[in-house]
Amino acid sequence: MASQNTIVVIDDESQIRKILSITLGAEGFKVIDISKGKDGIIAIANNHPQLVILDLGLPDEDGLTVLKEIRTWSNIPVIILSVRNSEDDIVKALDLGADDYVTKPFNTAELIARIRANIRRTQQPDSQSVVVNGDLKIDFSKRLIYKNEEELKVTNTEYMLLFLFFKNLDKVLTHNYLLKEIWGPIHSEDSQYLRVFIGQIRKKIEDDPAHPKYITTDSGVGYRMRLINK
Amino acid sequence: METLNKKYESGELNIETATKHFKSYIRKIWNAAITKYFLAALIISVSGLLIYLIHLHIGYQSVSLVFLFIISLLPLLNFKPGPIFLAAVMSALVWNFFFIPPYYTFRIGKVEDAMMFLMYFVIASVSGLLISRIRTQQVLINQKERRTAALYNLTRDLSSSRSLDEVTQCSVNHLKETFHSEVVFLYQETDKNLKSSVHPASTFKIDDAERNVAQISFLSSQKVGRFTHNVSSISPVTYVPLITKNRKYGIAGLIFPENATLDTEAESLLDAFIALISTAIEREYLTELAKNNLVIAESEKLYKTLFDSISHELKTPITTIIGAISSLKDERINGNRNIILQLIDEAGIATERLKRLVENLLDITRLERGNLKLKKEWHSIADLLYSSISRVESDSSHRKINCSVEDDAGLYNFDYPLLEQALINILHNSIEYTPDDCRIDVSAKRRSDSIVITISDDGKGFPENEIKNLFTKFYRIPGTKAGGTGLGLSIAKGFIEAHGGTIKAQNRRGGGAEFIILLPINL
Repeated sequence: MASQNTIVVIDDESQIRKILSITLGAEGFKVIDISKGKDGIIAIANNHPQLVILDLGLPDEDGLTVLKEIRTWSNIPVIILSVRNSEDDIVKALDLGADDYVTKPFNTAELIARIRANIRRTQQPDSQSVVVNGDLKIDFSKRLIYKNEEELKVTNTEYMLLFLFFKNLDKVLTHNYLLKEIWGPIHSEDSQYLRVFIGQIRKKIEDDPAHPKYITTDSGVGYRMRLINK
Repeated sequence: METLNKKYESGELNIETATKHFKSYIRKIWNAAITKYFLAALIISVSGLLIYLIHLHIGYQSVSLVFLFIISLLPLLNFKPGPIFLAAVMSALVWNFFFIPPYYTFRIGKVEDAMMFLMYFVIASVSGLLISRIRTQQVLINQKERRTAALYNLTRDLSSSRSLDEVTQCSVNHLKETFHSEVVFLYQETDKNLKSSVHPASTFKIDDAERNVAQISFLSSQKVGRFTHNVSSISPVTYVPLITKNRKYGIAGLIFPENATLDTEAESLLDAFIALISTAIEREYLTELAKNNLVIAESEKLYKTLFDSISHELKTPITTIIGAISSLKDERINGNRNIILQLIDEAGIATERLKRLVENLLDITRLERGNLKLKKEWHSIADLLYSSISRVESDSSHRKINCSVEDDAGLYNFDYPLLEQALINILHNSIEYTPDDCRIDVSAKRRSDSIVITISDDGKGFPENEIKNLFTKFYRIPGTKAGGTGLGLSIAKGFIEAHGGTIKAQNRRGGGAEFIILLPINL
């Protein structure tokens, strides 16, 4: 059972650990801060935190290695924190099972929002048959999408994409992941397919498709369906 | 190389070269040989006269032996078959006319004399011609030997040359020696253009007009200039492209002596030379290319390391500052005075770190640019030590920094801010890489020729094999904790060396690291 409101922060920079301890502490989280990857894995095993914040550039072992290790025995939400805002590393981390990422320098409010979204997602029961987000509503049992209670006509592929987005509200989904889920592993490089379908979906669900508020682009990484509060 | 030699030695001739041979042979007869005919006639006449004076003592039959002796000598004096044949005919007639009775007629009285006359004529012609041919072959063999030796020497010297300059120098020397010519080498600038200036090893310079001729040779990949059928054969220089199967590298130009001819043999030798030289140039070119690629790969690696390190160093304090400031906006946080103070502290520390990074970058730029001007003044060494220590004390947490300065350390003429920065960097290094409860000792003493400043700690010390890298720019010992650009110590070294001093690092016998700075006293 996860300890209430405990977060493990694994970062080699003492300054970053300190500022996170102060701000997250003020938000009511209990922070366990660790400087080394191996110690971090032990801390996660011992303290059953609700969430892990993991730096990618660690001195003893690469953050990706730590992530892989964690994923062999735990589904705990992991937010990647990195100065390397190179998309390749982020995509790699997300494909290895990280739940979200924040690049330094980050805004504390943004980080806290991400933390809360990720914790909420794990606490949600997976068996909901209807999910509402802003003006949108999806009915998994009937395979139907509604906007303002009006049914939207969507193709099979569009529905599949929307299904994935609603199942992972507020979580970034990499190009790789979406392509594999819908077209199978052979097409995992063809991200132009995605662009076309996302464009079509936006036309149907967004009020202003040029400035999307539901499905946003994380450039170079993937797409994310934002959680919209009505 | 081998095939070239074979071709050359087997003396294969095609029709074209055969007709060339014939032409040159005719020319030789007209030019040089005609004098030899006169000379041959003269020799026979003079010797005939001498023999006439003594022929009564030796008998007319021995006269033939004397003539035979003289004719057999002719080939050794470089007489060709023509003059020798003339000498044989002439001597036979002279013998008949003046010595065989009846005298002063071509008639021969006795049968045995007629036989002897005939046999003499045949023997004189045949032996003269045979000896002459042996002689010619010997000359040819000698020539071939010389050429083979020249090729061999060139090959040997080229293979021991280790750079393009050496290859060029060696090629110039050999071409000059073998062809008695002046030599110029002009390398390519691009695929289509030659460089504007000749290689410094060249023995003469060329003007713009000549350079254009060279350019034609380079572009057409053909010999151009003197001894060629190509345009601008009025040029005094013969240009040969330096070319291999893969690409062109430039041209070689040769000025042969005024009266030289370039016969087939010499031309094929020149071709062999140029082929060998081109191959050697290609070898150097490829070696250079491989080296350059390595350098590029290394510098890209360095660039990435540097970029990663600098961006990390910049982003960490900025992250802290942004984190702290954005938190202050948060209602849950800005109500709590204690947390506000903590955040401000953190932002302050981050700002310090950022400031230090910028200073370090500026310092290293000053050092790199090489125009560091020292503003030397007389200051107390003790002041320098105490002020440096006070500047780092806020970072030192629980570490104790002891300072001992001998009373006579006294004054020293130096740039105060620079040496202070050097000491701060070293102290900062000691603080960063030692445990919290460590002790750091700083001391200074005056020797007869120098001031010795020692900074030591009782931490772990350096890994023995990393000491040599400590002062290398951007170098950080693998596995050390995050933070730092690897600039601090190299800046310290630069500033100390700007004062004519030295710094070295070592491990103390009792454990811990030690930096020893020597500043020379110039009296």
